[in-house]
Amino acid sequence: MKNRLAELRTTKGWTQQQLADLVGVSRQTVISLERGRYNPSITLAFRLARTFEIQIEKMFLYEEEDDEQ
Amino acid sequence: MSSSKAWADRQRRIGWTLAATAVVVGATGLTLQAVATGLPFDPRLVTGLGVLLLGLAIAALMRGGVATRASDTTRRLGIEEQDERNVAIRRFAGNRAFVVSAALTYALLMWVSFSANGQLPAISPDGLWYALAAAVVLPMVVYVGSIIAAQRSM
Repeated sequence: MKNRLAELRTTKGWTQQQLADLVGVSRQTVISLERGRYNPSITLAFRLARTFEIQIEKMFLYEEEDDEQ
Repeated sequence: MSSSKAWADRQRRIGWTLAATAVVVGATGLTLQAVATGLPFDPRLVTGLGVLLLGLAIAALMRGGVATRASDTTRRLGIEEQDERNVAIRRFAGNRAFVVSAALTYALLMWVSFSANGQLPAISPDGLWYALAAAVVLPMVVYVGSIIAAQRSM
């Protein structure tokens, strides 16, 4: 699953640590999310979307091949 | 009470409980080694368990100590512990370690069973002790190794 986390974070001018503090995860998790190595739980996905004040589907881009993983 | 202070207090409580248990278990093991004869098990296993508990106690007390000195560090440590990716990594590593532990224990059990029937060489008491120690230590090695590998890939 792709996401626009890095792009949105940069737009806001936040560091990875600031974003991690805002959503209550470790900085390493933010790094993994931005690199697409880790897919968040639905709770974290909603928390991220609310932090950026956008709809969840505008942040996470679901692709068919995600089902094959 | 803030959640970070509560976390630090919990670490200290866990640490002291483990330390007290470690002293009792370790002292029991050493006493058995010194005075008891003809036990159906090797008393070094009890002493070893005490040492393991002491290590866990020191780790918990150190976490609590660091957390008390720096509130920012406390908050981060709390977040690190509850972080969903870290939880997923620990679960993944735990599953692997469990499989290794079950396989080793089963293999050892089979060996003892077959050796009792004379189909495999019998294991000496020392050999059995080392085999049991390996059945305890290897899953831990797999657990730590899996965490390190998953930290890189996940």
